Amino acid sequence: MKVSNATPKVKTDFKTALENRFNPKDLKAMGKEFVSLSRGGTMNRDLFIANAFVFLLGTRLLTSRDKDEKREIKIRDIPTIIIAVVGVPIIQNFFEKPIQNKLGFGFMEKGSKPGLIATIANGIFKGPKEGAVSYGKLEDWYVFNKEKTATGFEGFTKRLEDRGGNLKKIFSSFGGEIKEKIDTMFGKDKKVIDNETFRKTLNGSPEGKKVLSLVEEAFKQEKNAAFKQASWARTIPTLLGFGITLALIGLCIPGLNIAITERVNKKRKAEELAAKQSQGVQEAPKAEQAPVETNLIKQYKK
Amino acid sequence: MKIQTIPNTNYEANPNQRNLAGKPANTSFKGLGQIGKDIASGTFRMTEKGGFFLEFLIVDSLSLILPRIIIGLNRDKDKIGHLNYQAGAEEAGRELLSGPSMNLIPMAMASFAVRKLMPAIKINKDTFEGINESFKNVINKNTGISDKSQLTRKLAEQVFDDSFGTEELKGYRARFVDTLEKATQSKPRLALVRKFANSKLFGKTPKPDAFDDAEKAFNDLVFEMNNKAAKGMAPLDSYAIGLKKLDAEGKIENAPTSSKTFFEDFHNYTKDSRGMVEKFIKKDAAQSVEEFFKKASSNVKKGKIGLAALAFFVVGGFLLYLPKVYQIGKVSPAAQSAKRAQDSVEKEGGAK
Repeated sequence: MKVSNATPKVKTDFKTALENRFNPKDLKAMGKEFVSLSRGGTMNRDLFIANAFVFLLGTRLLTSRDKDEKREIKIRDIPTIIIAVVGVPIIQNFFEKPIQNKLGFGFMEKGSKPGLIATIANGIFKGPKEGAVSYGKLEDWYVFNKEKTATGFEGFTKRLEDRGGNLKKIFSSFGGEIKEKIDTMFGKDKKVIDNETFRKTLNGSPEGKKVLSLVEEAFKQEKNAAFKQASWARTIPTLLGFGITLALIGLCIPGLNIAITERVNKKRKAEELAAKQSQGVQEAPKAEQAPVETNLIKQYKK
Repeated sequence: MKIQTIPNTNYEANPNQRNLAGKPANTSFKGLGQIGKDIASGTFRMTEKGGFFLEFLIVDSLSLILPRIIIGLNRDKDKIGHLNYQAGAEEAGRELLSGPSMNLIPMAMASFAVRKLMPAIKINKDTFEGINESFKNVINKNTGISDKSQLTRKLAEQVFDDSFGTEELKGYRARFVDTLEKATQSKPRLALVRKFANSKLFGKTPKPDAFDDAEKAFNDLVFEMNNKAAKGMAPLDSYAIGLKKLDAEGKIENAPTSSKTFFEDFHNYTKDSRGMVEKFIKKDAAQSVEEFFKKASSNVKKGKIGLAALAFFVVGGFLLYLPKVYQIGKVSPAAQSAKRAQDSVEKEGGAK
């Protein structure tokens, strides 16, 4: 007897993912905050795009001389401006959670994930935004200041846990003796051990407590290995954001533009050739008839 | 014969055993990979402070400005015999002036507007409402005070009471008020530029700045307070200041802000004659407190929108005028290139 899965695994297709990230209410909120500057004085991203569309592209379209230029502006300039302005935050946003989960170092703010529009339109997202924290905050999370932290080392590690960190991975990043002891206690394989089990095991043995005290000392250093690794983890989404944006603008869009231009030219040449050929076919019968007529006339005149 | 092995306890078979004394066990060998990671993290940490301006500058320079300058310089290089300086210069002019200026112009305008016209524009809307609430409480408790410095001091006290007014933090009140009051001192102009010019990059020692030092002391104090008051888990945001404001229905709502921006916000809020404190003192006696704050909020909102709209059109005007600036010579490089192509075809045709 075949028993089908009670809850079959549904693959989230692109359309559904987009629907989840796109909230039409955000558009209305964006409209209200549209004309505003950021704290640093720059135009908000959506206002910037509008400005570029009106004054850069608008004038180019008006002064363009032919169909080709207009097409090139649409294919090359419109995506370039949009990607240059919103590419980095959107791509960064996309990679943050997966990288945090994969590497086991928490570097994201507690809050709700903003939709696509809220990512690019400043000031419309209410409440804490889930996104990569600043490096300063990361330093606060990964450097232990014993005198100032009233909740002690336990509160410090709880915060790391709370922000999505995997304690085994974080502690192991210190390397050396700490890593050796952890490997001895939990095995060298890359098995993921959840934080609760990890904590219980460490607190339950003298060897484990030694590890905890070593880790506490390690965290006191300002540029400790865990902080460096966390900084790197936090940097990866931004790096990807810049890298992919630059690749899209510098390589993909010009490439697409060239490919489309060539295709249009080929089509045009083919049409011209076809037109020439059809003209040539019409001329041939005319030439054949002419000699016959003159002959008849000549014959008549005779 | 039994051979007795003598255990080697006297020398370090494992170099890591050096760390048994409780010293941190960080690996001392840094692979190239770790150096690369550190450089990347450090670079992006520096660019973080630049915000959207720096992010766009990097994307614009690397993907648009540089490639187009290179293409321009190499245009018809074979036909001319050397780099095409006019085409390169025009590409440089157009791209360098259009991209970065779209950010620099609004930044300059905002800086002027905040400094000379309406300092409260810079304050985030929720934070502004939050400080207003605290100020309203001050006014209601202290009717009749018309001394600006006294009101400012009372405002600082009220901010403490509203955000940190718990038993265990009571001892910090005086320090908080003293430190926050220092925000009213003048802020030097072009602070970032000055800092850059005097930084270690050029081998100079950074000059001490009273405002910066006070701001740092304020941040450290808030850090200490938040960590002291935390229960169970270390605070997620050690620099949080929990202001409160009233929402549309009059209910109390949180208006959290960070000490990192609050110090400057307090400076702008209380700034000399354009700040809210003196404006309140000089207000019309007939106007009620509620009316004053309602009008102030509405004015700030209008100021923000007006500034943004003006910046939009100034940038637009600049972009429209820009071609006249970067165009060198009467004939564009594109037309020159087309002419060169035509000439070379004629030459070839003539030779035949």
